[in-house]
Amino acid sequence: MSVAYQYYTITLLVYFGVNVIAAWGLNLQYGLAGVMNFAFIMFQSAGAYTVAIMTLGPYTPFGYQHYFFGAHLPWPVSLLVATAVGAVLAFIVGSFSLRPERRDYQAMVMLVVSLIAATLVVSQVSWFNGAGGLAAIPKPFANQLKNYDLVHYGWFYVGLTAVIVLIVYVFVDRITSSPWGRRLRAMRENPEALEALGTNTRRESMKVYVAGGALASLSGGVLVQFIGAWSPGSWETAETFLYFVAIIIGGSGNNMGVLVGAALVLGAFQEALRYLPAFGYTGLAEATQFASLGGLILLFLWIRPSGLIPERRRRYFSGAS
Amino acid sequence: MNQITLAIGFGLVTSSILALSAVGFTLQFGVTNIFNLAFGDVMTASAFVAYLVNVKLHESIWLALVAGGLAGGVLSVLINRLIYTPFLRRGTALFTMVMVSLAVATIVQNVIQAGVGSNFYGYEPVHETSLHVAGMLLTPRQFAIIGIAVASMTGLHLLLKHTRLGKAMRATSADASLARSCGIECDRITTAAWMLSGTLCGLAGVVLVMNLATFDATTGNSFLLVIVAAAVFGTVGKPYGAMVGAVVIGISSELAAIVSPSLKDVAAFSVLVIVLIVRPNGLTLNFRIRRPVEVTAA
Amino acid sequence: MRLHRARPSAKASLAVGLVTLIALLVAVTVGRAAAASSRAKASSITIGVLYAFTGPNAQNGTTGMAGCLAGVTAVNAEGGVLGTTLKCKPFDTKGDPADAVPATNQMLASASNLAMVIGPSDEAPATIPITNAAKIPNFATVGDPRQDTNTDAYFYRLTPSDSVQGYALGYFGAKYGYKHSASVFTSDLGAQTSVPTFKARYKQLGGKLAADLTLAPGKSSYRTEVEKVINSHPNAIFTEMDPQTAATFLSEYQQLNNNKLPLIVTTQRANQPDFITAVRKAIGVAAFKKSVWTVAPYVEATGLGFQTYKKTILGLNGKVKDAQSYVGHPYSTADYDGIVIAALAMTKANSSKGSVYNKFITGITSAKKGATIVRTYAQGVAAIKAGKKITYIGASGVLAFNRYHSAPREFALYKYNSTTGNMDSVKVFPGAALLPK
Repeated sequence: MSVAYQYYTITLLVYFGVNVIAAWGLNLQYGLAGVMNFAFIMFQSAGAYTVAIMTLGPYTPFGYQHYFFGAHLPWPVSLLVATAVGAVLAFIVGSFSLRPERRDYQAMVMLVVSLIAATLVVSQVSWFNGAGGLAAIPKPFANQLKNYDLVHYGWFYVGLTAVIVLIVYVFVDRITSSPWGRRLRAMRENPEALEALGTNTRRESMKVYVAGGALASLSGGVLVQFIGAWSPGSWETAETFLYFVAIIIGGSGNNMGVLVGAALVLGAFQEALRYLPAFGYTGLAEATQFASLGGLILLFLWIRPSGLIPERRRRYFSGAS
Repeated sequence: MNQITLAIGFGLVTSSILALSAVGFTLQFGVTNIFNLAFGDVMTASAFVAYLVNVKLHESIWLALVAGGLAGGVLSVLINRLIYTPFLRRGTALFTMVMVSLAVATIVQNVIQAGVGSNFYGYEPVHETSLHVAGMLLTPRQFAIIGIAVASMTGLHLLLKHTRLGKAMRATSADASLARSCGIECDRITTAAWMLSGTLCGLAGVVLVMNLATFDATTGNSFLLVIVAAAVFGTVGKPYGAMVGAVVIGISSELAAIVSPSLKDVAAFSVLVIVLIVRPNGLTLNFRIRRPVEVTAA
Repeated sequence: MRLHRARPSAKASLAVGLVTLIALLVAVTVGRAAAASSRAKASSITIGVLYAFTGPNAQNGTTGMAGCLAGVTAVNAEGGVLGTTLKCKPFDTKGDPADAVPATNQMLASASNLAMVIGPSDEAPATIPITNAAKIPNFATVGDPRQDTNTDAYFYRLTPSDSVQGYALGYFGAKYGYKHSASVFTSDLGAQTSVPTFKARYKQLGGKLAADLTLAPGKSSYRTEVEKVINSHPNAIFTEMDPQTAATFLSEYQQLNNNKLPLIVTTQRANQPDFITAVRKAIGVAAFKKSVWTVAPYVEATGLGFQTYKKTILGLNGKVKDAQSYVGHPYSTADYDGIVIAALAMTKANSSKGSVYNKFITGITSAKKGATIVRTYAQGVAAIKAGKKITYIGASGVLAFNRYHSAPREFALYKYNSTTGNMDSVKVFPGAALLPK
């Protein structure tokens, strides 16, 4: 395998890891508990920005980019801080956006909140350098591994990502199969009944919202240390919907299904389309590729409406018809 | 001249454009239960149809507006017939339909881009002098835009309140299966709802571009989220919520622009969030997570 | 489907162990094997065009591709480089860093015989480290001041920094009598990078800002903002906006100001065809010609280098949509020059391998004693073959790279030419006077 192909493979593997972590986070919220987080990408971005300012070093006004605070936190402390920031942000946003009773209604509040956040980040340049975004974000262990070339370092980063993916898998798998997971599923299917049984559904929603927000934030942190740059263009609201597509195509509620969905929708589909031959005038082939992505999504939703690996039917609910 | 009354006048133009689209969106969602993310791209497509009529065929902007409205209606009906209805017949969950509409949006936008490239387009410009009316300063065209919005809203109100079709739509949106068992032909009602909401969508697209002065393949899509934000005020059959939402966003963003132009949307959206939290029963969306509502007649 | 049936804790520790092991194994073995790889010899040399080709920034891709096709056609007309022809291949960054990184890696992996990259724009901070590590010379027209002190050996900037653009705008405003003006820039990156230096230079030279606004781009109305600017009675507006925002803002300005515009002084963004088409249509050709001036990097627009570019790009009609509009385009012209410079460096190095020809690049355009001035690829190849030292001065004029691999240029005032539909330079400013001492 040539160096270039290796590095391409590395990129795809790291992105896959990041997308899986994020998709599992969203799956906790939506797939398991039915909370429609339309602000999802905002949490991923919060993690990316947190890790950026936590590793770029203290802010000096003489630098070429603006941000606040700034520190040199080592890996994985930077990621832990990002995870915590994601959790806190989710708690704050959840404290008002989960107040309406209806899920769809909550989703709308979150959508508007993420629009506000995106506008603020662009206009408040002193936060995260505005529309330019932050760049030159250091890579973990870059000093210790100075004599590694890009490919060696890349494989090392794949390893780091794999470890995090594994830890996250253990975490989400435990939640899914725990009594709390069962309660969340019951809440998704019939919140009124669960409420009648004495469960405070808003508190349960908040807990899972915080857990999912933390994972989303973690995924952003892992991604930004790999690509080294983050800007408002990286977290447009449309990306939130792409994560939902990944979950639904893979199999909402099923961690393995979600993994497959993330690999396909956020990885394989887009990469495969890049190899379509160029034709016609400039931009025609690219627009056709992008349109084909829509076509592929339609195709999969048509063939497997409940996902490639659907959630296992469980005895304790009557099942979706 | 008072800066505040001026800003309110400017806000009314923005509100009118937003009202046409937000009411179209909320009507579509209410009657058919489809949260249609392709709405913005249908606006773009309609704006391009109007461009053909106005610039290539040298017809007046008003004829182009009618053509754009019709194009929006026809395209919406086609998308529903060719894509949404088959998916719903398969029993696709309503939330999954959001993802179906995202795919449709991607396709529509990129087909437009493949056709028109990355250039900007604009209608034949007119250079009008602004008129002072009641402390506001607007061009005749802008008064016309406000008029179109008011007329459309009134027409819609009368249609929903006083015609058989309107009553059937409201019944369908309230409970499709009950409506069907009462003898309402849901299939036809749904098509009519797509035509009507699609026409509003098309009109909104053309009016938006008249106001923007220029547009490209991504213009409609870039306004989609603002439209959705305004639309969440709405309850079906009573699109007044969406109208109020449009007026709130339009006027508060212009007022905020007096203080901080780069934060005008933040101010408008914050007002929305507060209203949404304080009055959470102002709106009726209807995603069911698992069980689809069968919209079509068996 | 469940993969495991074991108790969670046992399953977890087993899995953690396994993956860590696999990760480490992969890191050591595969990484080491990477060194021993080779690339098959391909029939033509690929130039990667790394820009957004879809979405709101798709114009970047169209422009980059036009410049690339012009450069490639000009070089191939002379028999290519070292007997091999060049070709352009687009790679879509979609305009943001997170999508640009996989696109860059896919380019490096899949493009056969990749010798050079042009692009991208605002997403460059994410992609430059990758092309640099892959030792592929990367030419871009990015204005971001973060590249002012670039140290990546394989990165070259063909246009001046936006910080210089800002100084030039401030210098023009204060020195040419527009001392009571409004500053109206959008909040996006391309516009904001010019703002600090514009304000600093303008105020230093005695200019006063009567209004100072930052706009959120792409909104449906700017009437309140326009009213604010009108009330400050500026004798000029200094601005940079994307075409859609500019069309909306300026047409509303006319509506609210009895169809009159003050002088609008903007940047090289307005020398680009998409801006000209959009805004000209929105405010009318007469108003555009009268009121919209730009202060932008000087493109010579005469001489053999420019004529060759012009002839080549106009000959591409069919391949390049609306080829005429790229004749005076600062970016496609610069991309064309980038390709000719790289092709000459390859000729001089006798290799199209990035790691070999890279060190010849700066020498192609630098001023040297006794060097032959060459203005086309053909002249350059002939001079190199004759054993002469060369200095290439191309379609955009002198492009001498400094130690940060930026090519500073002179700035000029441009006005609209209604015959060609392009902006024409009418006055060149003295280079040294633009910058503060």
